[in-house]
Amino acid sequence: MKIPTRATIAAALLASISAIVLAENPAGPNSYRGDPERGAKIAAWGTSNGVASCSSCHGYDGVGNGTSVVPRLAGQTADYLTQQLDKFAAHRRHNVYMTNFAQRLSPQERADVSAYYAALRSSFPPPNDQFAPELFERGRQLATVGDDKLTVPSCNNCHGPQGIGESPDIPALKGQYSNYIVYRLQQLAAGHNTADLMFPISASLTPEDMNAVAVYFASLGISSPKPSNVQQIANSPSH
Amino acid sequence: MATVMKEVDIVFVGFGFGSSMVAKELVGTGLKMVGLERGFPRYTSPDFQSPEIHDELRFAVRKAMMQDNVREAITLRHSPDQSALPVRRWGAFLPGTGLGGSGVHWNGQTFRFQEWDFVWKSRMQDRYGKKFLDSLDLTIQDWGVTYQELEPFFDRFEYLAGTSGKAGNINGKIEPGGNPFEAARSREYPTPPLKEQYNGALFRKAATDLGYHPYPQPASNLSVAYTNPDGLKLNACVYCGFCERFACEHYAKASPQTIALPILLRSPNFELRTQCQVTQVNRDSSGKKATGVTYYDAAGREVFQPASLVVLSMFPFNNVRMLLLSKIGDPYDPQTGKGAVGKNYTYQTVSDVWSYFDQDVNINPFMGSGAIGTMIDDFGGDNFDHGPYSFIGGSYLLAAYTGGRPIETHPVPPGTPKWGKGWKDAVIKHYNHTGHILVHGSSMPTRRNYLDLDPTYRDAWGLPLLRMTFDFPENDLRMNRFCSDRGLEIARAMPGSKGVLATPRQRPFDVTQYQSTHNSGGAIMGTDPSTSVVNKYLQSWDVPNLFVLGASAFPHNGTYNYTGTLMALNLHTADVIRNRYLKSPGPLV
Repeated sequence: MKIPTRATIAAALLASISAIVLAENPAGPNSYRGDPERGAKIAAWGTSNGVASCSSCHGYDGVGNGTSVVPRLAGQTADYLTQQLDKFAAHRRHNVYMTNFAQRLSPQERADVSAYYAALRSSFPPPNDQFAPELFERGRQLATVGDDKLTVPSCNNCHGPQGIGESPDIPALKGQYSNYIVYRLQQLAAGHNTADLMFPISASLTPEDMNAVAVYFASLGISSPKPSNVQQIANSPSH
Repeated sequence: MATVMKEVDIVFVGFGFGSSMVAKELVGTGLKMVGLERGFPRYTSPDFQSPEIHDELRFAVRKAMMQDNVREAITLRHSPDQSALPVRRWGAFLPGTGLGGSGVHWNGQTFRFQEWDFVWKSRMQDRYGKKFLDSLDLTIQDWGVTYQELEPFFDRFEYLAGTSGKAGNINGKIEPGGNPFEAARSREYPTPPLKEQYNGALFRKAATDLGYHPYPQPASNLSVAYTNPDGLKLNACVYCGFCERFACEHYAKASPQTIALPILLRSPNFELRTQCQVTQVNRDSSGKKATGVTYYDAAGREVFQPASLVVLSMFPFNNVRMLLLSKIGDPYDPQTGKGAVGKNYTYQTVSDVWSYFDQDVNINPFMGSGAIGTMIDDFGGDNFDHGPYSFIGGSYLLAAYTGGRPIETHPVPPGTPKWGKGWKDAVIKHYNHTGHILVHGSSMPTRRNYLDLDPTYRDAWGLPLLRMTFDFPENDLRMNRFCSDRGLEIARAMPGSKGVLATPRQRPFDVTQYQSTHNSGGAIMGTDPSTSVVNKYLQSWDVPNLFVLGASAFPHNGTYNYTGTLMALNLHTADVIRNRYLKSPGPLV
């Protein structure tokens, strides 16, 4: 085994300190301007710092997959995606893989890969329509008006009309995989963080209600002929 | 011919915060209760949801949640020698309507009056002498109840509401971070304070440097998710900036909808009737016993609801109007000083201070909440020696933006043109770079400020409108100017401040400019039936089975927003009804 020299030790210390500094970015989306061309390369190939290609799970088109743990990224805003990477890196969101990758990406790289995925206008796969119409209706009710008995406000209050999201904190739900939405709601309900706005809301939902909102939002992707932008939302018929 | 309903134990007139909380406290007694509300039913879901609720034009400018003054206005004059005219558009104050009343559109600012507020006349006389007090020509009185008696009920309301704050005085021990001047409380607030705005942080720095004691404003818009002692859940505020004049979509504001109605609507002994306009409290031939109330239902039919106990909770000046229309008690006569119904009408004395910053200081006023803010109480009430001055009472100074809504938020410095391109350029330049301090102070009663029935104007049911005779007493204008000057000093000391403007309160009272909805008095509490309308339990001296809730009971209005204090009085009343009155109905004092 090679005995580390002082220079090697110093370099290692510097690297680990840098990693810690790079990992912590508590103030919201970092202020680096993302370059989608550089981001495309990271998405396709990963980085030499041990970051796997995002596309291997999330797809080069950002469509993700229906395994329930790999979300669609395409169409989320760059600020939202960057903030999520910052949160993963700082352990404010919990996923072993994402924390590892996010910590190994520099803040610039996080901004770049986020800018790449945010710019994509990928199509939506058809939703899994093996559900009862009543479930969809219940989801629509929770999404648009909430439920007084559960003290659950409507999802759209924060997630926007048709779930288009509100950057940088609030994701678009429109066209997200239904089983991913359920997975996240379960995670948030189990988080027990009273300062997290989603905790009391998710904790008030039954498993059936979680399925209901998930099924509703998943179906909104394909209901627009083209992927969304704000203008189209404004012009489309009310939900 | 009126339809006669089946008799109930209690009928509540007006179903806002007062009625709903008192009724809720009486669930479980087996009493049959009916709540009558003139407005429409409404619930957080579906009625308060976005995006519809974030409609500034509808709710803030056009006052959609307020009393319909096409059908039921009030008239106003500044002094008894004038003729009153109807207020056709609400401005200075915004009385609510609809299920939940003003408890839906309030800001959530939750204070306790001071110990000495309840013994105000004695305190003022002891400290400053009878001669000084007489020279001010104010009709202040002691309340007939003490802070100590009410402390458990302040505590109960704050814990039911989940109020967010930092205690300054727990059982006599001064706590860092809170208000060192506050009346002693038995324990900490149920949830921690809301986040601090940048405007508040700048104020905190300036106030601290000047030797004052800044602390976070107590808020019933909650800082964290909370389950109250009744098992009801509230969410954490999202700082949406659409609090006052709006309803909370998020279950984050304590209101009848979040902390009373869920319990009431589950109870088989409670019935809610909306769109019912009560026109009279009926009495038997002796005149000393209420037999129930008369109302017009949604179809315009006249109905008589018999009840063993009548509770008025219609908002202060509507309570007074109902007593006058029902001919209960002696109306106050400003010439003779006799009679108590309508006497000691008070308001709130408020003004603003502005601080202008450069473009690099971003205030972000839109990140607001109803009761967010950093404040000082160093000049509140009697917290300082008034010996050198010619007034009593005081103001708190509060740095807060409840929101930065686009239609109504356009602070501009003095000298800005009042319209046109020059004004628009100034609004763009200053919108996000202007600090604000609210000067919020007490209101003292006088012989000439009072409420009665208008001799000319009537409501849609043909009944005389309430007439308000009011202008600011000189005492209050001197107090406000003094406090405004203190606010100016702080504004100048805010880091980065490049200019300041204060707009102290002036006479005559301008009902077109929003100031405060803390109208109070007119059915005041006291120990002497000749100078008060209700006793310490808010029970009518004239009609023992009639209770009159809320701030109409205040012989003066203190420095602070009054919801916390009126709720303590109301919960004290609920407690006495439940534990004493029901066992032996009759005069409690």
